[in-house]
Amino acid sequence: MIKFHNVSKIYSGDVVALRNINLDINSGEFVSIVGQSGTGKSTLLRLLILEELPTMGQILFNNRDIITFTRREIPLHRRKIGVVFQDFKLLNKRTVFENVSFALEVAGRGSRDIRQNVGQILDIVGLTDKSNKYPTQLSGGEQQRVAIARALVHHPEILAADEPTGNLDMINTWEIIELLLRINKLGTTVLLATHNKDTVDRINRRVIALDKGMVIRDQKEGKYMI
Amino acid sequence: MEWLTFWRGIAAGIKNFFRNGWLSIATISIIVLTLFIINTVFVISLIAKETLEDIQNKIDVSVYFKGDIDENKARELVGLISKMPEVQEAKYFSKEEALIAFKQKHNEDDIVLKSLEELGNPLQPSVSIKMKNPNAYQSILDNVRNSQYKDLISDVDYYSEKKPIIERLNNIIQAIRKIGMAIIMIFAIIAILVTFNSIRLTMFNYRREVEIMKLVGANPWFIRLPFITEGMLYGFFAAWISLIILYPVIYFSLPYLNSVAPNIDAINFLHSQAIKIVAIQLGSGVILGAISSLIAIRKYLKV
Ligand SMILES: Nc1ncnc2c1ncn2[C@@H]1O[C@H](COP(=O)(O)OP(=O)(O)O)[C@@H](O)[C@H]1O
Ligand SMILES: [Mg+2]
Repeated sequence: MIKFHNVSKIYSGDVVALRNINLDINSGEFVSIVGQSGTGKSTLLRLLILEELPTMGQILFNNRDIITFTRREIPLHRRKIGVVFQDFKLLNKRTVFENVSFALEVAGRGSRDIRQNVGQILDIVGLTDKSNKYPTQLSGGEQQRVAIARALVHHPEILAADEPTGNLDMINTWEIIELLLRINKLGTTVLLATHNKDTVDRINRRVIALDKGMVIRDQKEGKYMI
Repeated sequence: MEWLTFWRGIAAGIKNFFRNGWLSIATISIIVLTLFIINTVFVISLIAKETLEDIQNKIDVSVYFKGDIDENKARELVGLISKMPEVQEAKYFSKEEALIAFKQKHNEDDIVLKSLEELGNPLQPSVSIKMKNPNAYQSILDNVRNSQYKDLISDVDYYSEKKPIIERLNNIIQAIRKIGMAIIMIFAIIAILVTFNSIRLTMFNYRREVEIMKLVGANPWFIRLPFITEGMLYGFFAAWISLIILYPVIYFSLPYLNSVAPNIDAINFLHSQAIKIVAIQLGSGVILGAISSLIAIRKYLKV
């Protein structure tokens, strides 16, 4: 589903974020991308959603080189990859429901369609009873679940989570990881970038370890080791 | 882009516009000022143009024939002159017509009338020529003087004395146009900069939304549309305010207008050209606003 072929990313100022990356990720996988901060995990995800362009190499998504996507196709591509971040990126002036529905509104979906989809997704992440609350009224874990709901509302093929538990305590962290595992079970490919050793060890799924922009290990049922 | 996306984008723009409060008012004011200046320049150049035309229409040249000529021959020449392309009208005045006109002009002056009775009719038949293009007088007169009819002519009321006035007026009008355009350009640029700055501020306040919209794959036009709407709204409201100001301003300056250009019927002009005036105001206002938002979008909204 995703193929990185000799991908390198050099930011302006000669910062080599990724070096000659080769990866092959299949549909339905749960992949943890681990490594210390500054090793290029976020860059990898940013390349995937075309927020950055690779300096060298090719990234194939469903056998199509993503660099060939036109301006019109990029938004459609992004709807196939839901993203969540450490800082949640929620809109504090909007309710939980409105934060999730925002993603559908800006894609031009009808209001009945939106109500139905958002209700369904809030149910999956377990926030139905909080749908009229504002983000500031929620715990960190709940806020991250809102962000996950928003990322899922387009029914993406991939959920890409960049340090989603970075701001959370242990209990909330594990709740989020369990949610990601459940989403994966429902058929969505999950990419999880993290430098949290405990979570990765407990997930016990494929681990790709990066160091200084290079893949140093890629294991089927890996542990966090560097 | 579907209608739904379109309306949502417009609605978001309207919301941003009203959220900006005082800044919106400041932005609108500067556009109103710009439109007001456009209008003023327009009115001034209109007055100047009318005045020039007025003067040009008043100038005609008269060619006087010798008193004893054959009237048929004279009329032949008049017919020829009136067929020349630069000539608007050539009118023949016989001796008798000239006398009637003269008497009318001096009908309160007994001495003149009395002496006229004693003299008989001393006046000459003439042709009075009105031109489409005042600059062509000289060549026409030359033509007539070199034709077979030259012996008929006794005298020409020279136009050349009036020529410098027309040229000066022409120069003044050109200068007014140039200076006016320069002032309009300066104010248009200021208006665009101020509007641009307001939209930039909205973009800054709205940056979270924009970031998220990109991430969740929003239609790029949906991201741009609120800002374009906002820019156009500034121009839209400014145009109406400018129109509301325009009427009383014209009304109160009417006496002054008429004293410099008596031929301009400003009220009638406003009424007969109402649609055009509204269209120009709305058009210039909305275009100014749209240009500002497009610049801001190009500069800050990488979608
Ligand atoms: N926009 C950018 N411009 C320049 N350098 C960047 C940019 N983003 C990231 N980097 C650099 O690229 C390297 C990898 O960063 P990142 O992908 O964020 O790593 P990680 O997510 O693993 O912490 C770091 O050295 C970082 O400083
Ligand atoms: Mg990172």
